[in-house]
Amino acid sequence: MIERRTWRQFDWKLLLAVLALCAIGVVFVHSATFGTEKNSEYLYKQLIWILAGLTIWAMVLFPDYHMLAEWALVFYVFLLGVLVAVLIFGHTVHGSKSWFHFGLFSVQPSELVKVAAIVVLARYFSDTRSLDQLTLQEIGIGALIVATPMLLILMQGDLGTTLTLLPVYAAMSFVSGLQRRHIVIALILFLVLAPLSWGLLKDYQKDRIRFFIHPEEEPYGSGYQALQAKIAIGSGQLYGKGLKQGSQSQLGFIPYRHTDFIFAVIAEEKGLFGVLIVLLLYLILFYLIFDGIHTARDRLGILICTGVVALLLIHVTLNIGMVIGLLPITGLPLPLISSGGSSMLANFLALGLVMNIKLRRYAN
Amino acid sequence: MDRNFPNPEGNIVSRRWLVVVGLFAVCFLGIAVRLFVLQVWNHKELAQMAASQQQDVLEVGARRGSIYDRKMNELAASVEMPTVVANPREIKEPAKTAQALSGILEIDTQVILQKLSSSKAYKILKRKVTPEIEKQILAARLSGIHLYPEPKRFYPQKELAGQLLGFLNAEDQGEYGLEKLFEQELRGQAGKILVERDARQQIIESQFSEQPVPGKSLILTIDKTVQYIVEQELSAAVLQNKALAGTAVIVKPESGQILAMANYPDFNPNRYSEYPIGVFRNRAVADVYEPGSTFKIITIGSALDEGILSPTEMVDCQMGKIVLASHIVHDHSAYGMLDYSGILTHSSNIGAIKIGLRLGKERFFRRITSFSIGEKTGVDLPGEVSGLLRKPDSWSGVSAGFIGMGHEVGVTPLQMATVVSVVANGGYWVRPHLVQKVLSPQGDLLAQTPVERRPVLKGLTAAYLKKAMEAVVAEGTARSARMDFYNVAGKTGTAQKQENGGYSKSKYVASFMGYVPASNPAFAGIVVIDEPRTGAYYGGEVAAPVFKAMAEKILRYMEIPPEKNPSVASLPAWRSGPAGGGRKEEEQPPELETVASAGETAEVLPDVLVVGEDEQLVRMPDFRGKTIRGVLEESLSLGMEVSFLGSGVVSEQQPRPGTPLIPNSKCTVWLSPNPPADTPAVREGAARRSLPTAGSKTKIVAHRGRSPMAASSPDHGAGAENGIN
Repeated sequence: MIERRTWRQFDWKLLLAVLALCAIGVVFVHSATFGTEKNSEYLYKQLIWILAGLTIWAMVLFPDYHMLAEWALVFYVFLLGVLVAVLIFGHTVHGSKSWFHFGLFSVQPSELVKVAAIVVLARYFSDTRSLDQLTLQEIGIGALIVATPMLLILMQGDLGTTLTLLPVYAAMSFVSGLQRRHIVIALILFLVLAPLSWGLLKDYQKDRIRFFIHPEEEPYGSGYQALQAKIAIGSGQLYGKGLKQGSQSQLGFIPYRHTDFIFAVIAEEKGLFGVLIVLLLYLILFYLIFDGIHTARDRLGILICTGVVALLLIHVTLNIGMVIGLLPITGLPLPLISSGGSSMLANFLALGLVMNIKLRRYAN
Repeated sequence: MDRNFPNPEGNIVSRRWLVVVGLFAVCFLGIAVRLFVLQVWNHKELAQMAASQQQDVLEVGARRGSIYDRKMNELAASVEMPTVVANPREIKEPAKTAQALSGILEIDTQVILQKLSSSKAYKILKRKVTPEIEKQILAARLSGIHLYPEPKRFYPQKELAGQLLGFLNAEDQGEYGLEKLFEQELRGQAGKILVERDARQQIIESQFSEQPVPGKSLILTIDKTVQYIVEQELSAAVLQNKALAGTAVIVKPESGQILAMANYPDFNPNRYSEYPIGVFRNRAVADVYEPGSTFKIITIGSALDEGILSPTEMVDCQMGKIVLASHIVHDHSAYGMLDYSGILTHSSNIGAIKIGLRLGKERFFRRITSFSIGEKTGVDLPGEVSGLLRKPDSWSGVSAGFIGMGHEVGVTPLQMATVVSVVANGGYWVRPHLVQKVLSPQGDLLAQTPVERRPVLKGLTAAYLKKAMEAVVAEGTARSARMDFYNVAGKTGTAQKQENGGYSKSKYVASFMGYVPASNPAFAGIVVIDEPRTGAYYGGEVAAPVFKAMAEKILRYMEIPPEKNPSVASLPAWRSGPAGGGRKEEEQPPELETVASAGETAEVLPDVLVVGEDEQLVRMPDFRGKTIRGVLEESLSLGMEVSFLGSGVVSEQQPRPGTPLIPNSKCTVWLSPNPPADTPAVREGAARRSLPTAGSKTKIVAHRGRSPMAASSPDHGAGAENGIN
């Protein structure tokens, strides 16, 4: 199924960067949950998710991505169904009804649907007639592909995950060939609709944005999380307080410290140097995906890679931006590092696709 | 195919990508800058915020060092007692908690409630509670109420040596005594307990961020048993004599180690707050009294040492009356001729006055200060005073006389204890001290107080004084201190207290200082009874028996072998001179009455002058009737140093005219505004009166020729030749 010369294209650097990020994740999930009863459970789960992720990643390598793209639509539709099911039967965690509990494990289908949407969208855009002049209809259908899961996720109450698909769509359509006037119209629409959408937000979502602007107003309320993360990062200083020594993390001042706020734990315990290493690894990862875009064999490959890198980038940027207080709080995990299975599987799936595309850059 | 852009759309796509990459590059840059701002720029502020919300620092006193007596009995110790601390944030029902605590701690509910509603994480409710309260609090199971052990000072011997030790005030600072002076050593370094609390304000961990460093311990020179004996006898004496107060000091004369130092009234440092503030003062170092006759030891000792008084010289005590400036000074009995020992034995004021005057201002002052009178002894106690000793240039013409009998001078009991030690140890002034050793918390020796001493009297002088002091007890004013199995050496003192600028007729300070056994002193000591009010007020009546009572018990405790058998006890063979007679022979505080008519007369006559042994002798001129200018001219030509007292013309001079002098010797002239009332003829008469003394002096010269005491320096002006004309 895979020729020898295809294997030669295997990007070890990409795999190493991914594994390094995962290793950091394991260490800090362990540190962040240290001293809690579920400490070892978190550690084992994280390792299991990584192993599962690697399995999926490996499985995704074998079939040609064109074939996968054909099947993606099925997967996509199936996941949309799951999203509907979650809305009916799902569990609510932290205000979002986006979870299925299966015994020990919980699954958040919204993470996986993002990858499916990327592939479906890439498949659609790669088939358009004009090279870089998307028609309004094409833009519309593309938007529909993304908006359907977005709507369902929004209905679950998970604004953060919903919004991540917006830049993915923007990036992919932009790369596919947006006309300048469409871009202008889109920007105007965005500027008009954004204030209007304020009314659609739920109270806690409004609070998050309000206290993002004035976090000191309510140190024990919604602004609390942002403030505590800021204190943790700042008190970490250059070299950090040492693993398991971060008092902000260990004493529970940082909310969701093994998931969404894990970056604060790293910053506190390993200081500026620690987080710069994390950022550097992400940059290497993104560079290697960009490399995939440059070297991809065709439009489908380019667009999948674009979608994946946009998805990862938006997660990293929003998550870190939120933790360091540059952006309002959105419940997004830090890719490959945060504890959490669905996100891990989705990321490995996406990265598997990128590797698949890189492997087949010379294939015909 | 282009290797970099294998796909045909590559160029276009990559150009568009530049925009996307640029956007994210900006984001990453923003993240990096923000991280730098937080972690480098604002880190101090944020780290502080972290600390302030996660931690509370509780200061916990270190275990204070113990104070031991010389036998390692604990005089002051620290025991751990729990302090009740509240964390208001952990308390869900403040009102209920406050009510429960109020009953246990005996604090008003409102006061507790106020503390419980504090925003602080830690509020101390009550320090150092009893084990009983601790039990009750533990039993009440109140959330948010914690117990932290803190050291509490405990004085197991209660009143024993209270003023020596001092106490710890409410802030745990040493007050008074050794607790104050050795605050730094004893205190150690407070530890800090870092209380970590989590986001829900629950205490996660409390640990020492700084381990407390326990204080150093002190080993005193005090012997608990001796101290106990002294305190018992002293308090009994003060109560029996209905006295205001009493002080006693017992020292080892050769080392200056203070075995006991007691004051009555005393106090219990465990309950210091129940006592009036005046009781804390250590009178032994902080109170000044006029020593009276005990001071004669210094006067006579100095004169003997200077060689201006020979041990065999007979001094005319003028049958009990002397007029000094405008005062008439009496002896309690009329004595004629007394040798130095007789002066001490009978405590003749007149003899002491004459010797004091003979010593002269400068020399006497120098001698007095050599005993550290007028200076602090440097004992390791706070609040020591130097006493009162005026500089000789502010002495009046007769001050040397008054000081000679222990007036016009103020001393502390401890100063006098060191003076009697000088006699006991053969002539050394030894710095008294209380702290023998300083121990580290682990018990290692850190410091040891060295014996600091300096010679102040020649060995022979001390020996003469010893004999005289034994006679004082054997047959003089201190017979009440006589013991069956030991020879006691001592000296009594009785001084009128000053009142309204004059001397009181009813208020006295009675004292006795001595040492025992006389041949090989185990200890020296002093007992001072302030204002005895039962009629008896003489040192020999009031203080000497107290010393005896103490000494008997202390000697037994120290297992000092007896010196003598009471049946064969006899007077020392060397004793000569008039024997004392009857109970009447109590030394007398010189009753000073102002004699108006005798205002300008100084009837005191320097009777004997011993001058230096020198080839080039000059004769003392007759300055009488001359002015200062005249005296100066003549004295300068002879190379003499003259001290002038008063103003006018010379009415009196010392040495007498015609006395052989070595060059550069010192002399004193007394000036009066009017020509002297008494004629030179009268003076001659006075001079003649002391002739017998002078006659006896001739013999002394020969004696002195082989005596080491003759070895005196020329500048003392002391020497061998017969002094009289």
